[in-house]
Amino acid sequence: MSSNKKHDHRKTYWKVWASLIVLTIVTVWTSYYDFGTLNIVVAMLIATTKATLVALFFMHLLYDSKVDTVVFASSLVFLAIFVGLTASDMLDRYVPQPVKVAASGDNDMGDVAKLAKPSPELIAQGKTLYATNCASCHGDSGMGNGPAAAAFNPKPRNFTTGEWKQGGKPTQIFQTLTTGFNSMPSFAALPAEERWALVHYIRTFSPNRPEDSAADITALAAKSGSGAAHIPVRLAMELSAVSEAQPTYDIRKSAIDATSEGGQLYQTRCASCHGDNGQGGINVRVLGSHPFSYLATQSFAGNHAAWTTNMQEFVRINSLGLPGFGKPAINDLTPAQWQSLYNYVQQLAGIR
Amino acid sequence: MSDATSGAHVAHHFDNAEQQFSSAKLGLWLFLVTEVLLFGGLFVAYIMFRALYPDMFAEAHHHLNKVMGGINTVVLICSSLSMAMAVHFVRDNDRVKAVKLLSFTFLCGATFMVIKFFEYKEKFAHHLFPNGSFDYSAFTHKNANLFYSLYFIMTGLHGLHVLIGMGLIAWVLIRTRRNNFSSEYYTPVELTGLYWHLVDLVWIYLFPLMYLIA
Repeated sequence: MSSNKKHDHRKTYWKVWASLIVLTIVTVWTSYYDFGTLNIVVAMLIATTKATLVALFFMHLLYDSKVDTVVFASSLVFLAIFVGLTASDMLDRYVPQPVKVAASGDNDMGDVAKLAKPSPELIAQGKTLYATNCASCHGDSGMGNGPAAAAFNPKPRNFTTGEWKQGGKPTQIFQTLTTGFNSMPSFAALPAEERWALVHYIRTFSPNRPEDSAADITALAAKSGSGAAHIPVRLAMELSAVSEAQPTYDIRKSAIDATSEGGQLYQTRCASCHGDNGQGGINVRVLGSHPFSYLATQSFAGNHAAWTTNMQEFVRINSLGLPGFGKPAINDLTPAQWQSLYNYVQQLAGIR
Repeated sequence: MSDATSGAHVAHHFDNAEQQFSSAKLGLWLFLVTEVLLFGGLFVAYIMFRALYPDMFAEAHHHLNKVMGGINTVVLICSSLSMAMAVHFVRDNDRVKAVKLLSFTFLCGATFMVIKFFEYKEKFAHHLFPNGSFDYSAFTHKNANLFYSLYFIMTGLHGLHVLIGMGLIAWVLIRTRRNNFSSEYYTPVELTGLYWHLVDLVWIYLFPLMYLIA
């Protein structure tokens, strides 16, 4: 092979080694100082400098065929794609309302007598559970108008009417949840305290809330075989979480003006599915369903979920659409147009 | 030139020894690419979880021993130097020095593993290995076990690479002693060197990411 002279990098190796040692000392030393978010940047800059030195000199990339460098660099390109795509998914996910664990010293929530009484913690827990277990049929606001309601006959109970077929006492609702009723499945798979939480949340929808007598509670406790069901403390702590305060919004109501910019946008973009006045009830075909299935759009009235009370959420949902549910994405509006459309929808929902 | 020339045999699909040598090297670089992506998956997991739970990472890493980690960093850097020097002397037909340097490199790898062993032992003693007996009470963040899962899998996989590297070094050390290599043919030494430097390179990132968070 060619002369060994040009391969003699011993002095360079020593210099690289010295640099690596110095950089190691520097990175340890800087770790004792706080540069805030720059900490990680400084540490990674030093590490990358060290890695570059190793690759260029110890691994001979500087002296060798450039093909080797391209090959190695390609791994870094793919690594960047790996990080980038994962980050764009992971760090951009919808994070639900932050919840705080209620600072309750009393973890003994296992007895029926206690769970049968509503508490803010139970209601808040019930609200979270309601959204995942019940809202698809009974609707976000308990009006029996969830997206899946269209498929049922008889329709899911509208809690806001105050009518109860299986009784409206907490113990009776608990029974209904446990055993199921008509098309409604049994929710016995949920731990007892979660069913109790749902009971108390569901009752908040209703103007008619009959109370249990002491005998009712005793009877149910006797029926369940034990007056004191055990709940894992950790689970109770996690689930008896209280939502942080809802954002406040302007409740001044103004006349609904269909000739405003928002009104015009609504008529051209939204009315065909949501109705001229946001009354909903129009069947929209679920994309890709065979045989065709339809979901009825919901009424805006009284629907004070995040998308009507938070403009950011409103824009997010509407600009993404609801893939698979037939709601198309709207992505050609200016910020001013979004604002006026949002205002108009709030008027329809009775908020503004 | 009995042994040395036998190693320099050029396979029929190569033009000459030089092309054969650079092809072998390209092949090893391609392998190193897969290594980068193997560790890359773990680094991606690390990045995502650290982005999600920065406070937990800052708290959890305080149980790692900065001094032991720092010493291990220096040990690996020294071993990289001696490995590069060993390749130089093999190519320079200086067998005696090459054997000494390869032995030193091997000892550095062993030192690294011994220090790592004592670090692991301490973690196990304090119930910081994320199995059923993980000591959650040592942390205010209840998902601190996540950090230790990443710590053990990342340093564990790296440690495995150190062991494999030591095996390769022992192998080229024996072959160097047998006078199998010369300036005409030293491909295994060169490739072992590249592998060993990659092991060092991975540690260069692991050290600040694990031991020097805040």
